[in-house]
Amino acid sequence: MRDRLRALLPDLALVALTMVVAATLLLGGAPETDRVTDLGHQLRCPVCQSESVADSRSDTALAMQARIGELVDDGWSDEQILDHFVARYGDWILLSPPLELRSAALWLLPPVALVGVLLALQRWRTRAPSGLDDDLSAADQRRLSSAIAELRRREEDRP
Amino acid sequence: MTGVIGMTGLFTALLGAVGTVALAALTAAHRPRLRAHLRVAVHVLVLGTLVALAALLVALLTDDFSIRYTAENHARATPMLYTIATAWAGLEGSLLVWSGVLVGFVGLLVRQVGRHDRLGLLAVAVTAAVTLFFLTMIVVAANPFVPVDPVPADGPGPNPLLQNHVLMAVHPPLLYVGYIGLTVPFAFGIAALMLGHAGRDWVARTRTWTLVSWTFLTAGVVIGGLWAYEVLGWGGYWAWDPVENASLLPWLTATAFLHGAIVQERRGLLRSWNVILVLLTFVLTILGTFITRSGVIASVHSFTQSEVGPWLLTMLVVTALASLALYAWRAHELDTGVRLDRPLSREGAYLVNNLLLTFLAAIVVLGTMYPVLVEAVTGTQVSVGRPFFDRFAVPVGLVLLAAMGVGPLLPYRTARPREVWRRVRPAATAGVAAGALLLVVGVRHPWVVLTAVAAGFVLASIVGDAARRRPRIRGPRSVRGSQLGWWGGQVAHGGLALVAIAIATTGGLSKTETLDLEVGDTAGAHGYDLRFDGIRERDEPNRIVREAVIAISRDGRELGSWGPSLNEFRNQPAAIGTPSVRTTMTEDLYLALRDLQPDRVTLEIIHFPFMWVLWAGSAVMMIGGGIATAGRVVARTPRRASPTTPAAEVVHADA
Repeated sequence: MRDRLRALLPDLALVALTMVVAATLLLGGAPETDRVTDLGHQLRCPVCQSESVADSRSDTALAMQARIGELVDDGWSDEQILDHFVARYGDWILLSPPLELRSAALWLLPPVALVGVLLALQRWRTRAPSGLDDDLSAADQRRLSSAIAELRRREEDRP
Repeated sequence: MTGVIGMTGLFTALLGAVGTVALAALTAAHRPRLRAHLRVAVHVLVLGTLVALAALLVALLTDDFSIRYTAENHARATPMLYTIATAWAGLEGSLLVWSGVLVGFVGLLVRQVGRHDRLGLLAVAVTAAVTLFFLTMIVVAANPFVPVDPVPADGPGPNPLLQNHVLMAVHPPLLYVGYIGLTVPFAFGIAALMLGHAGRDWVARTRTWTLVSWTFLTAGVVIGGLWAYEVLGWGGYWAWDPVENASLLPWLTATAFLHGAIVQERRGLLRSWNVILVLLTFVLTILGTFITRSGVIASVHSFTQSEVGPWLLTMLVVTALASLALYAWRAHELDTGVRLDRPLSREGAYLVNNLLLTFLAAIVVLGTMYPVLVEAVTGTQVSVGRPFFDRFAVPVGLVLLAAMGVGPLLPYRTARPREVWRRVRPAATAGVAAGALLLVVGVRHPWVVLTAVAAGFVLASIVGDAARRRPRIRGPRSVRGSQLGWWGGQVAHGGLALVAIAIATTGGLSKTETLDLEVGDTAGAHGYDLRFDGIRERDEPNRIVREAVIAISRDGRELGSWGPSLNEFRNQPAAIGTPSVRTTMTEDLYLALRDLQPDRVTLEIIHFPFMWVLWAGSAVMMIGGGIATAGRVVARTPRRASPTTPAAEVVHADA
């Protein structure tokens, strides 16, 4: 009984440690994030090439970042602020398109692809091996089996 | 005159390419005597390309503005280093350099191909056919040697961003070698399909070529990130920009192939899948070339501005369709009938790796091409940026990372779960402990902690593995080569774990502060005191550098002065900002200019903890690639072994 407990000790230690880390992460509260910058990262700088408002140093981006700051100070929610910019520039301003008809393929394709690949994999794994084994004639098959048996026997005879 | 010489070189190369394709194909079609003529054709191809490249360089170095490329991309004031780099800074020149690298690969490949080596001969034919395409495109649609009349006295010089940092002279050639080198594995893939056989010889050779390209590609991608960090000044190194994605895509599938190839060499599994991967990798390089050269991404409407766009699009469609058709027609001949015994085995781990890497590549293709497709079909514009890519890439990346710690501990064929757990447990404990340590230190960012757990697990698993099996230095070449291959892989894994840690910490823990300073003012940011000492102006031949002198001190101790600058290039309208970075062992302090007036400056100061780990980890990855490549060279069995003697059975390092 004691030995078994001792053998389990490393497992228990790992499980306990993992639970502590997970609990701290879940219950410790999210780290304070800078809402203004986070929102800036979700909006596209309208005058740049694929840069976010937070990353760009163009005048337009700086003005937009300042505007986000004002709205945050006024107590707007993240959603309201994003909507505010969408109303002005259109969906194009969002770097991560909302889930709607036009961008449905973008969001649905990855999970569908993953499921498809898993299914294909399952089929590949369970499909009866075609190829070599089937091509062997009955005589060849017998010779192969006896050769394998011979090999096994020799392996066992070896000191 | 240089124009005429360059054109002569191009046409000579074209002739050589046609000859190489025809002679390699004919030699493969059981006419071994033609092998001697093939050598001549390749010499003509190499010679012509060298002449064209030399003509381009001479035109740039001698300020010969009589040809279009120099007139449009060069200026007398451009310094020597950037004049040479101008050869790949513009569209036409970069395509010529591209062809030059490809011709180099044809030359290397043909040296290893004997007269009866049909696989190799067909690979030469395919590589040369791709070369032929690029040379034709250059001559017809992107010719740098078109004469200009009247000859201008001076030109505008290269794009300011491309002559602002010495890395620009290094990054493109490295990336090209990696990117273009992937043509050779593709050629072997096509050759295998044509011959209906992808056996031991095929996978060994394809793997070596991919490994070399992969190492260069890694270097090119990372140095591109370093360049973005040091030059662009937005305070990052990766933006999921289409051009960056273009370089990442083939890297992902090539990495998948490098793993799939091991399974094939060991167990004969995944033959046709590996062929798909090398074909896909090449199609992705062409897609990347199309994205970066056609101007299709900035907007669909700039499509017509570039003449090479339709060429590359045609090439993309033809390559993809031809590969697919050839595969559909011949792939069944490659199948060995070997199947996976158990999912919980080394093969299973490699399969997971391949699945996730291909899935990641699919996500990146989707996110990159979606805006283009939507705009082409509906005419409306959508943006797909970092939030989309991060949402998928971060979780998939973490699973990949964790799999990297488990995979190498699994035995081939089948594993008992209890035994696997016993092997994995110490490393897993170390990983979780690393995460707990971070929490104790006060880091609460979930992704950073999770990455630390996964990366700590991988690193501990590698160290434990190294302690368990002692590297064998003696033994036949094949054993030593196999050992080097294994350790190269482990070193590359360790490097990637470091890179993952760095990506998480710089992404999750970096902080930005903005300071407004008048001359003589001091203000604090991230625990440092920054003083604006005024502007220093430097007149360089190609640019005027206006540098804000910022003295940094901490607790009253002067640390020196840093100079983020604005660079005005002659003949160019907009000034380019260049950040200035103070790097120490624990952090980077990144100073970027927002606004610079004679008496005041607006600075953005970003604090990146342990930034150097990113570059160090990448370097470790490249070293791993180098070690594995060395292993391939050491283990190489004599090529002209008679077909009746079976290849020596390789004793592998892994248990």
